[in-house]
Formats: sequence, C-alpha cells, structure tokens
Amino acid sequence: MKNPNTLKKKLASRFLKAMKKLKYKMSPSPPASIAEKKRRHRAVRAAAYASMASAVGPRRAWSRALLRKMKGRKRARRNPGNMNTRFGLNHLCDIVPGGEAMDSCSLLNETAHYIKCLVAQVQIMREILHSSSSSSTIL
Amino acid sequence: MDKDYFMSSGIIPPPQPLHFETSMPNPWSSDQSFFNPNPSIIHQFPHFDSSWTSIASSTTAAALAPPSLAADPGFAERAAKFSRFGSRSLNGRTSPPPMSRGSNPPAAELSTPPLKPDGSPPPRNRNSGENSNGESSVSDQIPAKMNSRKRKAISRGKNKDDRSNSPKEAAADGSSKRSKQSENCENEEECNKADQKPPEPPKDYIHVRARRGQATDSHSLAERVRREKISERMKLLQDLVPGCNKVTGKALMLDEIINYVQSLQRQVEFLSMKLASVNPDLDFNMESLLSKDMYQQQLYPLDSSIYHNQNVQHQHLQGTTISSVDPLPLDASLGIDGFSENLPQFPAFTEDDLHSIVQMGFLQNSVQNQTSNMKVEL
Repeated sequence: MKNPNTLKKKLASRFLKAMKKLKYKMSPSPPASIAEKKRRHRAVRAAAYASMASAVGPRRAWSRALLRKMKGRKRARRNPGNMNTRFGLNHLCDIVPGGEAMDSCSLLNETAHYIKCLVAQVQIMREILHSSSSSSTIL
Repeated sequence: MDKDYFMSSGIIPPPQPLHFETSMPNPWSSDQSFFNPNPSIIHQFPHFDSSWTSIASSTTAAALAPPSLAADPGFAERAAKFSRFGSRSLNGRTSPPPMSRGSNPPAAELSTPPLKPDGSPPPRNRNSGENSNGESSVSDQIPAKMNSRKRKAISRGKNKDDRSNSPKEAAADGSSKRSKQSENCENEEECNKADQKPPEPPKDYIHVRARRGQATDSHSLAERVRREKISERMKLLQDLVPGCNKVTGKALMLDEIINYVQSLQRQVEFLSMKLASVNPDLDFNMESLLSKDMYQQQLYPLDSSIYHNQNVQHQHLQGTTISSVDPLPLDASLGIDGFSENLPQFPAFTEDDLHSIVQMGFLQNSVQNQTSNMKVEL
C-alpha cells in the first residue's frame, strides 16, 4: 500500500495550498457573527476533505465519491446486489464515503485506505496548529 | 526392495534421500550411461521410479531452501533431469511391475509439479541443461509431454506442497483427491494455456481446494473464497485500528472500526474548527511546516494522546468559542438527539472522551455541534 511518508507529504502540500486560498477570502479580524464562524468552519472542513480526496486521486472509490460530492454531481448509486447487510456493514457504508455502491470486500479495502488517509490528515492539521501556536500566541 | 533390483542390474544405486541432501555425490553427471536412451536401461528405470521421485521431491524440497544448495549450482539442473527421467520412464514403460503401478503414476507426476512452483527457472534450467549436455534427442521428446503433464498436475503439486512430498501418501490419497482435483484441473487447463503466466491470477481462480467433509459444489466454494477474502481484509483493518487485537469476532471488530472512523472524522471536524478560528493569523510558510512534519513522528499513539490534546486545545479555545456556543439552541437540540443516538454504540474508550468533555464543561456543545453538522452535511 501507500508509504505513509509520501502520503503525508502529498496531503500536507494540498491542504496547505487550500488553506492559503481560504485565508485570502477570510477577513483578518476575528469574525463577529456566529454564522461567519460556522461558515469558516465548514469551509476549512471542506478544504480538508477536498484536499484529501484530490491528493488520493480517482484511484479510490471513496475519493471519487468525495470529489463527486464536492462538485455537486449526483451520487452514483449503483448497488450490486447489496451484499453488505449480510455481514453487518450497514453502518460502515454510511460512514465511508461512497460506501453504498460497493460490495463487502471492496468496502473493507476502501475503509482501510480511508482510515490511513484520515489519520494522516488529522496529523497534518494538528501539526499545523502546533506550529502556529508555538510561533504566535493564540488569540 | 529397490536396492535388490539395483544390485542385480549392476547399476549403482542412488543414494538415500537423506544422504542426498547433506552431501552431494555426483554419480549422475559422471555416469553417462544414465543419459543413454538405451531401451535396456529404460526398462530398468521402473525400479528407479519410486526412489527417483522421492529423491526428486526431496531435492525440490531442498531446492526450495536455496541457501543450502548454493554450493552446487548444477543441482537444480540435475534435479530437473531426474524428474524428467522419472516421467520419461513412465512414458517409455510398457508393462510396469505390479508393485510400482499404483504408486508410480501419482508419484511420477508428483516429481514434476514440485518443480513447477519454482516458476520459470526449472524449465529454463532444464532446457539449458539439456542443451549443454547435447542430449537433444532425448530432451526434445520430453518437454512437450512434460509441459502438458506439469500443467495438469499443478494443482496436485501445489496442494501437495502443503503436505509431505512422499509418494506413498500420494498413493493412499490419490483416489480420494482425484475426484476433487478433477474440477480444479478442468479449471486449470483453461488458465494454463497461457504460457508462463504469473501464478497470481490462476491462483485466485484455482486453488480453492475443497477440504475434507465440506461441500464441493461451486456455490459453496465461491462463498468460501469470499469469506476468506473478507477475513483477510478484516485482519488488515485490525492492524490499522489501534486496540483491536483483543477484540475477536467480526461484529465487535466492525463496531470498533466504525467507532474509530467516527472518532477520526470528529477530530477532523474539531481541528478544522480550530483552524478556522486561527486561520487569519497563520502564515502558511510551506517549507518550514513541511520540514517540521518530516521531523516529527509518523504515527502518534492515537488512543490517549488524542484526548489529551483535545483537552489542551479546549483551554485555548474557551475564550473565543464559548460565545459562539451558547446562543445555538437549535443546533444543540439536534446535537443532543444525535449524540444520544450515538452513545450506546460507543465502547469504553470514548467514555474517556466524554468524561474529559464534561470536565471542561463547554465541549459538550461544541462536540454536539460537530456531530449535528456532520449529520447534516456529510
């Protein structure tokens, strides 16, 4: 599978680019309204998932599903005989993006890769926060 | 009994398999009479068969552990030649002695397949060996038959690799196995028409061996393959998810996995919220950040440190977000419903999270916001 080091590098570079883009859109002063904060929060989260999905590319079913969701296209709900219910994978296919249209075996594959990428993404975000907090005082 | 035959015919008996592995006597290469396609010698080969095949199988078993054989580079060639002779005698034989008839056909075929798992090198060795010895007349006849016989016997050979390679077992089990292997062979021949295929694709298709006492129809075989694949994947997932080693059983494992993924998603939510609040102050100096990433440890121990970090970060955020948290009754109510639904599913490790949340006193709302947001938007 993927070497964690290269994966992390890719994810980090994409995420930082996305955050740079976002930064220009945000007002430098802290937002007054709650809606503004919610909007920002959603934007950052979307940036995180989008950068994750684009870093992985269309190779994985979950990344394809995420990209589809970002672009606003219809979900490709092709359900091949729905063998998920046999092994209790109901919840898992709700959680992993694009999980409904997969059979059990590939769903588990996708879950494994998705977990790897999520872990890397979380680490990156945390490191960014740590580096920023160490360099400057937070609010 | 074989030795008596040898003594009477005046040919040097081959050494015992055990001795063969340790010391490498070279009667074969030196004794040119073996390569003589003299029919008189061929008739004497039947006696050799069981011993040859045992030797060949033992040599191939030894060949599978290359370091011991590194001293003798021509060893694989010789082993290949001997298996060849075992089968060749089978071809040339007209009236096999009764004692060897039952054991020889599976035994002779046994001799060839153990070479086959080594892949292409043995056939190449064989060809090179033949050419080097100049025995083209003998060698040309054999490869054609050998290939077909080898390919048919691949499943038997590969299945036999799991067990011991003694031909005597083959005789006992041969009848019981052939019925089961016949369907494997039928599948095989289609795949083995392709020359020198990598073992991977035929392997998935073929080596569904029906075990004893289990149904052998195609449906149950396919189901078993699926189940094995799924259990394989579950093992991989077990390595990824921390703290899954103690849990056994698919259902519990799945619950753990689901909880882990949910907690990771929650962390992404939380960190994105923090980043959103901090973002204008950050300068995304990519080189410094990336170099920092490289120096730091790859995999944090995600069990305990997660929650400690969250506690630390809560303190930072308290000043800023507490105002955003209070006047959100709608989201809070949604979040409460969602949260209470999720609670029974969570195993013990997330209770620590909840305890820390309660201690901090404000994260309840923010976590609920996160979950409500997740439900609405994700």
